[in-house]
Amino acid sequence: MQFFGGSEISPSPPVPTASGNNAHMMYVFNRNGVCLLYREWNRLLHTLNAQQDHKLMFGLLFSLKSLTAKMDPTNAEKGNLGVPQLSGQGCSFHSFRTNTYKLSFMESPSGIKVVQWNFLDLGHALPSTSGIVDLAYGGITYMEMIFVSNEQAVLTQHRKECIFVDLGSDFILQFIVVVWLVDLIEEFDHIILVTHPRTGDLRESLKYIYNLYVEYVVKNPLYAPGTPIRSELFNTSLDQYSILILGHKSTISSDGGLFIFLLSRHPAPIKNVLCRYVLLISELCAHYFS
Amino acid sequence: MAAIYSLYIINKSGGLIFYKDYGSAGRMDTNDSLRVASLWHSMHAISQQLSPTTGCSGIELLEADTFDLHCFQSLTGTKFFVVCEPGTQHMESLLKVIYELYTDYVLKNPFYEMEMPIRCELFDINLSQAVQKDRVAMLGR
Repeated sequence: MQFFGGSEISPSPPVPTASGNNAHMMYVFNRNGVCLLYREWNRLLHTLNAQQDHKLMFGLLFSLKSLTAKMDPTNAEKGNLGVPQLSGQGCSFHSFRTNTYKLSFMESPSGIKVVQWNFLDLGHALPSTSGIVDLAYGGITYMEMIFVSNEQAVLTQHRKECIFVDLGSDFILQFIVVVWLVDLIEEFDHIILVTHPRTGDLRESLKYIYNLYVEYVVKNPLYAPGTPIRSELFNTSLDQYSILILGHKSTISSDGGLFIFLLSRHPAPIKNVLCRYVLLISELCAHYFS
Repeated sequence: MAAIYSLYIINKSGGLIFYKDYGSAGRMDTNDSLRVASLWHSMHAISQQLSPTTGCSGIELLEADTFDLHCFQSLTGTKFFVVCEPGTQHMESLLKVIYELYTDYVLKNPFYEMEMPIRCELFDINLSQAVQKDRVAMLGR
């Protein structure tokens, strides 16, 4: 999921080289520290391999929770540091910010942790070429991100294919398809999102995602906990939620650039999905520009 | 009503060199404050490692349910952090003021040994004045 609320696009002329500084990551952990879901969009720096990164992330969250429980200034009765806290017990943190990213965190009563990372710097670049690129994908699961802008567009550096469709004088639709193999998705209990640091409080969004999970995944009688999530309803509702969020949170810069992000997961070949999205995008744009 | 609950200063290796509590119910004894300080030092370092891009200088603000934690790291690696009420404004400037007091009354003290706990009277006096001024300013708004 991506949430781009509050980001500002500078009105200066677009930089020809891609800066692409808009990494976003999402982690989902269960109560035992197993990383159930990890999604990244344009993460530039990978200091550790995936396993170590997940362990480090979970360790950081665990220790920070224990730190906040201990440091709580309103509560005189505290356990010792390092004692594992139950989900509701003790003061827990909901976000922290550094100079380059903001991390939002949510833990459910069953130990489900949702973490979202927002990246600080919204760099942007113009596409170097335009045209329609033909793409064909065989049935691998992939993620699709679509950026709509009228002046500038955000390019990701991460294994991308681009399709540009000129929809009129007002804007150029730029489709960026990011293909990657979805990592091992085991049962998920923690949701972590990494987003733009100027993003507001994302706790409501995280709670909503968790509710979607409960409704469509946990309550599904055919879903076995611990297996990858293959629920169409869940995917659709996530998509709809992202449209809803992004429809409200998409910003218009001073030079009229508009960013809308759409996220979905389909095993179908791209052309079919694209047609669907063109319709969706044009509806959204019509709504927005009317 | 305290603007800030407590102030910690840790040296570049993570050892606590100053701890002052301004009236929170969660006042800690020496051992606990030492542990919390070194834990914070490690968390700060880990958060730098996990950054998705280069140039990260560690956690500046941690928002919890009942408090906010603002942290300032000087170029030498000395960290100043305050625990305050959620939503308190202008903590960064307060931390910079405290840093200035530290350089004036601690580092310029010829009897102060580097990385050791701070035992400088002038620093304490001026720190209380700075925090008090901040508190008065906050109440006055």
